Amino acid sequence: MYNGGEEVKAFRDPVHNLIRFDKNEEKLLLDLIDSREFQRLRYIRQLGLSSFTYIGAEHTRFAHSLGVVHLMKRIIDQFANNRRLSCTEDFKDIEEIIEHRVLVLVAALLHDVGHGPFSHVLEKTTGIKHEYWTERIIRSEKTEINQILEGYKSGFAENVAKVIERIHSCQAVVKLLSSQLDADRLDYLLRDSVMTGAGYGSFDLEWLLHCLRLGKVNGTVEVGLDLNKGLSIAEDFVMARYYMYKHVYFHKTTRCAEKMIDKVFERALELQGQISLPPALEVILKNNNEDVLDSYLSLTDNTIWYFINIWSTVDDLVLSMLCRGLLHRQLYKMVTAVELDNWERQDQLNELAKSEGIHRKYLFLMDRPSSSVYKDTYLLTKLKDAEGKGENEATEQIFLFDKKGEPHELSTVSSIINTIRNNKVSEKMMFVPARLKKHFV
Amino acid sequence: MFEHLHKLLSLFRQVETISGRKKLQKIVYLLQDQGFDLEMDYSYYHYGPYSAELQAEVEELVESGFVVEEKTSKGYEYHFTKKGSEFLRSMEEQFEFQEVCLDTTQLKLLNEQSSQFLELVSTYAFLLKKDYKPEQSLDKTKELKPHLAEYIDNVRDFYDNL
Repeated sequence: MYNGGEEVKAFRDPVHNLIRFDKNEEKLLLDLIDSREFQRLRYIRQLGLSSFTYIGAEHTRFAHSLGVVHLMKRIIDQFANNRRLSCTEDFKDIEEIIEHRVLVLVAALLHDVGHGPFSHVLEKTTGIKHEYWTERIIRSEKTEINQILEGYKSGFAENVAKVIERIHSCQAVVKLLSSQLDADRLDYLLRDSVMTGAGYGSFDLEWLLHCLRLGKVNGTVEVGLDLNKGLSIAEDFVMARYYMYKHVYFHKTTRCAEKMIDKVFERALELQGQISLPPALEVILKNNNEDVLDSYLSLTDNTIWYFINIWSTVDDLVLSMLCRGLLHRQLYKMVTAVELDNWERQDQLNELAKSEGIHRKYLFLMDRPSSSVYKDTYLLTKLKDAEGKGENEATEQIFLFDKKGEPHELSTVSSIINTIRNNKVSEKMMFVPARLKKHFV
Repeated sequence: MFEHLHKLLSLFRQVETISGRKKLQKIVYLLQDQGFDLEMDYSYYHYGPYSAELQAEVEELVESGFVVEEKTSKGYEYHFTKKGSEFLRSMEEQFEFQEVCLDTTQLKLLNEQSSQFLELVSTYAFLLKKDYKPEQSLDKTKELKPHLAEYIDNVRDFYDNL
């Protein structure tokens, strides 16, 4: 009998249009979405400070997580509806994925649940990675997420954590969530492209999904593309990543703001005891027991901005200067980076810092690709053509499977991608206060 | 930043040559596990603990000429260069850094192992950090790396003696 379509929960989404969940069949996913720990992702931006550069970059980790589970469903259903999309003889990997469908979808939904506000800053300040918090949230009996997972099936939380940690025994399941063509990457590229307005990151998602395959590489299952049909979309996809990396993730204004907020927290910690820190952060810095999780979960972007606002009026020149710079978007300026071994120039920087009365680490913000939170291992790793079997980590390769199921790494069959991988993706940068720019080239 | 570079280059100064990227990854992981704080962020991938950050930093050292990446018949070798040595010395003078001396015996022992064996040991160490007990960690390592099962018996003793 018609009931007005009440059996479906739908989210309107700028990337995927409609993200739907069946209220009965997918109640577990909806309960997880409603949990306290997941809802908090509404207050944590996906791209941190990119809105300094792209005013539309205000999307949240909440939206991204829904996008990932939506894409994962599409991928699983595609494999389930056509087992011949597996290049292996027995289709065992597809059978395993179907068997673990709920596990994969839950892991996709929760893969980023441990992210905090301005993740890289918090990680640097506390020394604790967001992956650790993800695992704690899933495993801790005190969280709503754990209680929901264990209510579904005893021991299920542990399995979800293992998939996210990549140590689950079913590698096919792990690879759907963590590979060069995983649902996470597909969603964030498209989402970041749409929301920033930077068209570089768009690619033909429908065709890419159509060309997805499972195959074996050195005896291990991998997610890849069909060589004949998928070569162009593979190139399109990598080029989208390349341009997004160059123009969005590694944009000089964004990188500058990120370095500045790094320094805000570095200085704030130096002044601990003289200024107030977010109470939750103080708890985390003091110890590492069960109670700390609650403190961590209370931190959102709002907490950080609240304290940056307070610190903008403290007596400490360095901290107040950096905070005002961020609040009013009066950012440092990019100059040519000084070579590390140019000691004459380094001495000049020391003299300049001395005359300003400020430690050089707060005046000359050095930036290198390796310190960026956005590390695209495929783009940042130069092609190594003489490497032996088993030397290249799969996370550095994109596989295309031919008619016989044999894998071919993308850069060996595409001259465009070969060139991209052997070029420098980004330059070293240095940022200085605007008033000091005249001392540099 | 200079402190961080100092530590990484000190490792290359002491070890001089490392054969293969995988070996480099695992040696750094195990050194960190044993207390040498290089602050490299590792995650688990197919070949065990892997750091994209270390990968990117080594590429930058190669670009700067402090380390050279030489292609050989067996793969790639990393050598510390004269430029790297001079830069390291200059850093120590400029910033008055204490010379970093890693345990030579430990370093030699690690560098002598095959990359596959180090893959096993680092996976075992990674699982211990995840609160697996030693026996559980060995079993899980076997499960994750069935193709390396023949080397598994020596893993625990090797790790315990590091």
